[in-house]
Amino acid sequence: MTDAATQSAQARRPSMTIRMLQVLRDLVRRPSGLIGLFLVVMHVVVAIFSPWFVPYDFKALDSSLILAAPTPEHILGTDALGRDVLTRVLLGGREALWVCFLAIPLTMIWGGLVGVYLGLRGGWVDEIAMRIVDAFLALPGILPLMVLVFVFGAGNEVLIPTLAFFFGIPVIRVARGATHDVVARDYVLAARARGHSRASIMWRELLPNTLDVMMVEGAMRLSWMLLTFSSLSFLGFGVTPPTPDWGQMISEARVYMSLAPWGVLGPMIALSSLIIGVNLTADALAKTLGIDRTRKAVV
Amino acid sequence: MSAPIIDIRDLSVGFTARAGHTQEVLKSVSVSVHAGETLGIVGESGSGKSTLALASMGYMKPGLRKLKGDVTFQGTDVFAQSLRQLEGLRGGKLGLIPQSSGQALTPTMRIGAQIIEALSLHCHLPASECVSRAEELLDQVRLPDVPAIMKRFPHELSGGQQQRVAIAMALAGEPDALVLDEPTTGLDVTTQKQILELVQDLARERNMAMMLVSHDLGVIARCCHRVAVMLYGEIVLEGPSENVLKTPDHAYAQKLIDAVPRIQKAPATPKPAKPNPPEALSLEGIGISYAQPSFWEKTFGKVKQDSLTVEGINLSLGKGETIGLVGESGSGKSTILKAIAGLMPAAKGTIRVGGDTMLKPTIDRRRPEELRRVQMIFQNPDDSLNPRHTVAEILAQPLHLYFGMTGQKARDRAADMLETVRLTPAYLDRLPRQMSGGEKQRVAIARAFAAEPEIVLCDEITSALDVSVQASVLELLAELKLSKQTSYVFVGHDLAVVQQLSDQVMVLRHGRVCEAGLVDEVYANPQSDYTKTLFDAVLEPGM
Amino acid sequence: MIDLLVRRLALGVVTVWLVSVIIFAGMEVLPGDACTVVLERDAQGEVLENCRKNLGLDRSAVERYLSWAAGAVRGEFGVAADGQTKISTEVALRVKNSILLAFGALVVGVPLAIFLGVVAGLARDRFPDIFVSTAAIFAMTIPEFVSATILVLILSIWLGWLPAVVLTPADAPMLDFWPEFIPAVIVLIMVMVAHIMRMVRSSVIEVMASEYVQMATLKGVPYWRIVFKHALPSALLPAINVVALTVAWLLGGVVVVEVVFNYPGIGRMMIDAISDRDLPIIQALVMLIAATYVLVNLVADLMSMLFNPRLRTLKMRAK
Repeated sequence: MTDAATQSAQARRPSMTIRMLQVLRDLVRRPSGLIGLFLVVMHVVVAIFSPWFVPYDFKALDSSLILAAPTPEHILGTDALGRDVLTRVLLGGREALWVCFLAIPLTMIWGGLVGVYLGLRGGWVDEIAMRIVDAFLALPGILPLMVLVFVFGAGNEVLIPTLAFFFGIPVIRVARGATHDVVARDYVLAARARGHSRASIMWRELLPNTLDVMMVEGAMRLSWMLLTFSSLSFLGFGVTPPTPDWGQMISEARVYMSLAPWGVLGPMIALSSLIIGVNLTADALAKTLGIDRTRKAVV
Repeated sequence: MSAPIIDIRDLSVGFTARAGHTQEVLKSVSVSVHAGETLGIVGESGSGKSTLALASMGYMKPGLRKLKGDVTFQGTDVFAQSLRQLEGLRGGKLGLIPQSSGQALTPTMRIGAQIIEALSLHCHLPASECVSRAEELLDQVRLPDVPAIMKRFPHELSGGQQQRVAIAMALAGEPDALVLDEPTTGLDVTTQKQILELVQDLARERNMAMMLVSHDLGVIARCCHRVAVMLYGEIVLEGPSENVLKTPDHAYAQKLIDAVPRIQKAPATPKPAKPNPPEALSLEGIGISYAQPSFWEKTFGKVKQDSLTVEGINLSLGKGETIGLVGESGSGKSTILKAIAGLMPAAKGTIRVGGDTMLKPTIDRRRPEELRRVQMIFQNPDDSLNPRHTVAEILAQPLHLYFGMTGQKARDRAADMLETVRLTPAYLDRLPRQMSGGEKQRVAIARAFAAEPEIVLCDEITSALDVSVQASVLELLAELKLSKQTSYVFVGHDLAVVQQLSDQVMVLRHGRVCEAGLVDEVYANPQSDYTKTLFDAVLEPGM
Repeated sequence: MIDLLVRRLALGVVTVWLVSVIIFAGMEVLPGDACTVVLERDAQGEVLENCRKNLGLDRSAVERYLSWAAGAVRGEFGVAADGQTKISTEVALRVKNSILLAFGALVVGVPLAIFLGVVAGLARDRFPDIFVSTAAIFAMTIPEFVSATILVLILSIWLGWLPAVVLTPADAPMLDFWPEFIPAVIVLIMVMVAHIMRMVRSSVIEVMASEYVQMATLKGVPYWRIVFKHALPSALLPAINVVALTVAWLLGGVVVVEVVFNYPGIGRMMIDAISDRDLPIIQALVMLIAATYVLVNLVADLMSMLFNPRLRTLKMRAK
């Protein structure tokens, strides 16, 4: 009897894990999912372990090797200050990954919960909240981020909450739309008719059934957040030097592009492959879960 | 006998499932239709009847392919035709009337343009004559105010009108044969009758061959000379309708025909007059408005008071009794259920349960104990069970909410409930997608009864199920009613089903009561004209 | 219909008003004001107070909001922090340049995107689709400054066809930007075509699988006639809203692209204003961009209502 009891108590937990494993299995069966996941995992591994295997110190200056072409010692050459480009490329994704991987769960949680709540609540609360959401969506995307970074600096304690806040706004809209699709279903009507509380309906009926949409959305937002992060950094509103970052490296190396074109190639390939990896994964995830994100206008 | 118009010989259709394994949808099917003859193809969902109908036009849904066999139309092999020749055939000599014309008419084209297109493709008429010919066709399918209809878009017409347009479109090519794919599914009974009459008249006038696919034996019986019964992609029985429908020579066909509920004109054994049971539910002067005031209307005081969708509903239901609400779409029968459940607040009137307790109009103002006493079962079991929850979790919800049961206790009780609806406890860990429609509906019934309700609201609960499944679900409901002394409010559009289960009946039209009374009396001797029309429109096999 | 128009317009006005509140409140909360920026180190004591009095910064926040909003409604945003440049004149100049850039991208990009989307949708999962769809993923994910850099590397440095950056001053006549603005337009087109094309593709796939397309086939309508007469009118409707978002994006200051190519549009004006801490200019730009966003989306909604018979009559009936 005790066996049966523990079994039943745990019945729910394995089913969730099994589902996630199934999704992962279906994901790697698609070429795009496999390539995408490979790129993402590769970048994560490099980001975690690079400090232990980079060939040089990333801030070591060498005035004798300014803008040097690739040599066996410096495979990707050196930059305008004589620093080793390969070292800086290997280290250059750490900040972006760290910030975005922390900010995305925050984004999805706050945007998702607010959106699902509004979708269920409806009425004047929804009406007013959506006007505010509209107003934030009307702001020119990158500007509030630039202003905040300019005023408060580019520390992670500024970037993470700021990115999570502004990226969460469109998520509210998506979560609310997904909720509207679910709320109309009879099983939600049945739960309402039984008299379940709003919290219980959100937790039991709405969240499990909007999860797929939110996972795809999260993966998609992650690629845009990485794009935004590197754009900020490119524009000089990102990581503080001398910490290496791809966006910043591209911005610096561009100036000498006619003299030393190899300077831009390393960071460009690294950055693009990361974002493409995330995007391919998101795309494959959407196909696996049967969610067509493109049908809904991008916000 | 002359050569058949459509002749299907030994046709197999299938798709590649996985790793080269071929799954057959049609297995060596042979049928033929002659001029002036109507062949009925009947079967339950998944029997391959629609695939057969489309294959007769040389068309297969993406993914399907022909494995073997031939389809000939007037002597020419359909599958050997070039695309160009097929285009000339389809909509020309061989017309299709689709299942739901609401979906099948192009939403962005006006009705006139769609018919003129068919005319110009197949009749090569000069443009000037097309318009008058199109109007003639619409007139032929008995549509009113033809010039206005020509200018409308499909969504501006009613379901019956859309179906008539589809028929006119098929007639544009002067067809020798028509394929009708569930032509009246989703239409109200009275409309269904008119459409079938129209099609039959046209077939007679033009001596057309018709292939009519339907799940409804009543429709088949009404129209067809010959019937083929399909099961899992095979024709298990074929012959003249008389023989097939009256004395079927096949176990499945027999079961299918027996499962069709029929109206009992004179009850063989009049139901014994029960001693007056205590009152379980009463509605007094219920009126419901569909127009829910929006935030803006509330704020700016623009609430419309004028139109009540449903008005003047009174009923009194005893313990263990059933009242059937019947009516066509838009009659407000489901709306009344929602008002009782509190999902749609009644604008006026009172709802009482157990003779004393007044129910507040909305759920959030009712106490849990009040909510427990009234439970609802929904039409479509695919939609009423949370796809992410196992049966155990689904059944645990009312148990936890009303009785505070959790863990093993709830699980044991859920297993008991499954047995009450004749499912084994093995179903506890299944997800809805791992069950058939009938099984899902049983789980939904178990969920409602888990609350130990006094009143169960049933919203068309068998209309999404196949006939044979429907029969067993109805049987289950009758049993539960007897053993638990529950009262049902049963909404249905099928008069026979309603009769089978109900003690009282209320006929609704446009949100008003047309007629109400004891089932035996109303069915034996309907008073209002509308009720009579409804009874007239009922189609039953063997009538 | 009129009812709906008025309602949508009212909602738009509410949105723009909310943006103005957010912006004003945001700037209020941030440390520093115009005087601390101008005076820098000297921003202390009496000097600071005098400056504030002169600029009217000593009034209450509500008062300042009202006078600022009153100006904004008339299109007057006062003078920049340097105390000389009239903001509306300068902004008008940049807006003109940004419109030129957006126009260039739209004229080529929208038809191209629709064409590619339709081709990919009709050839679902076959060669043209796989090629176009994969290219689209690359085009929409590679950061603008990366594709811009590659373009400069090829067009300017290796081939020497075009200058790497725009050297034409902001107030030059539009024609002077030809051909310098071509690389910027190409970069913008890459991103927007990818987005619109993906949307059109899935819409085409959905419509081609619809029952009415099947019905048209069984009515004997030839394939290309089905595509053009039956499928595309429905399939292209959702494109209206995506194109609207693209227009809003293009007019909302494509900061990165303008910075990369040194193009004098509002994107660069924005970033310069931030570096100069020029709050009045930032406020003016944000208001302008938000209003554009609201207007463009409003127009898109009205257009889809106009072209979609279903929406058109539903709304009319509802009234």
